[in-house]
Amino acid sequence: MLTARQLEAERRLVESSQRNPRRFAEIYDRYFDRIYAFALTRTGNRAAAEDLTADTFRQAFENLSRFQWRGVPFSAWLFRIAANAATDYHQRASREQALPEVMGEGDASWENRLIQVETRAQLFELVRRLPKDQRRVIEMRFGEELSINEVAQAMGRSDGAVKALQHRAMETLRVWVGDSHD
Amino acid sequence: MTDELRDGKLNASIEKIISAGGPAVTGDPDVDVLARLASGLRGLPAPGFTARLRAELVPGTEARGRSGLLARLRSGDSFDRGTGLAAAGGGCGLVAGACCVGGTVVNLLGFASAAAVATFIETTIPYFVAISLVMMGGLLFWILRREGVGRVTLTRSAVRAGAVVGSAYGVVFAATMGLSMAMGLY
Repeated sequence: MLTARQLEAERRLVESSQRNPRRFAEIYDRYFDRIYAFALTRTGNRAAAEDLTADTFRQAFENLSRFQWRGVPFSAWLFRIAANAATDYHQRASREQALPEVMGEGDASWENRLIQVETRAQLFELVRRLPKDQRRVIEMRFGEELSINEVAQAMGRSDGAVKALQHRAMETLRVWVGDSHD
Repeated sequence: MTDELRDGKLNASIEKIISAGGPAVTGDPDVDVLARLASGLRGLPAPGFTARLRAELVPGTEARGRSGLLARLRSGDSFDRGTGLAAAGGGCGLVAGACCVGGTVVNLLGFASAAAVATFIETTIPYFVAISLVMMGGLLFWILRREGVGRVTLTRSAVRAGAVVGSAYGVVFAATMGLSMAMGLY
C-alpha cells in the first residue's frame, strides 16, 4: 500500500515520463521485478514470462501519453495490461498446444497469487543487493541456469568456492527476508 | 556437519530446483530452509534480458537505471569493494580532522589568529574524533549486517573490513593533523 507521499512521487514520475519518454526507464526499473514475477507466476516458464513482460512494457510505453492520473497507483494500470497480455498468452497457448494454465483463473485465490508475486518480486530485488560475487553466482545459477562448473569457469574459481558463495548468498537472502517480515 | 558438506547438499537441492522445479529434502533443517527459499528464485530474470528490454524501450539508457550511480549508492554496491570501504574510512577520517582542516582554512583566510585556532583545535579535537569513531563503528555494523555474515565468518569479515576502513581513516586523519601541524596550529 503506497503512502500519500509515495503516490505523489509516482504521479510526478509518470507525468514527467509523459513529457520526456526517456524517464520511462525509471518506471521500468521500478516495476520490472513485479511485472516479471507476475508474468512468471501466470505462465510458469521463463520464455513466456519474458515475452509477457516485454509485451506489457511495450504497451505501457506506447500508451503512456493516454494514461490519466486518477489517484490510483500506476502499478494497477500496468498490472491490468499484464493481466490482459497473460489472458492473450493462455488463449494462444491453448489454441496452439492445448496447454493448461499454470496459474489460471480457478487455480488459486487472488490473495495467494498476490502473495506469490510479491514474494518473488522481493526476492528478485534482494538478489540485486547482494555483494557482487554472491550476486553473480545467483544470477548465473538461476537467471542463466548454468551449472556450478560453468559458473566456476566464468568466475575463475573452484567449484567448491562457488558452492560456498552460493550458500553464503542464500544465507544472506534468508536474513534479509527474515528482517523484512519482522 | 562440515561447511563443504552443507554447501554440497544445498547445491544438490538447487540443481533439483533448476531442473525439476522443487527442492529435494536433505534432512538438514538449515539447508532445507535455504532450499525452500531458493525455489522462489527459479526463473530469476536473466540480467541480459532486463538490460536488453530497457535498451529496446528507451534507447540510450543502458548505462543508467540500476547500474546508475544513484541506484548503486542506494543499494550500497559501492561498499562491496575495497575502494568503497576505503572511501568510507577516509570520510570518517576527514570528519575526525574537520577541526584541523576548518581551523587551517579559517586561519589562512585571516578570520582567526593562529593562537585562537590552536586553542580551538586542541579543545574540540576529542569531540570530532569521538563522532568519527561512532560513525566508523556504525558503518562497519551496517556493512556486516548488510552482508549477512554468520557467527563463523563474523570475525574474519569484521577484521578485513575494519582493516581497510581503519587504514583509510588513519591516513586521512593523519594528513589533516599534519596540515595543521605544518601551519603551526597544533
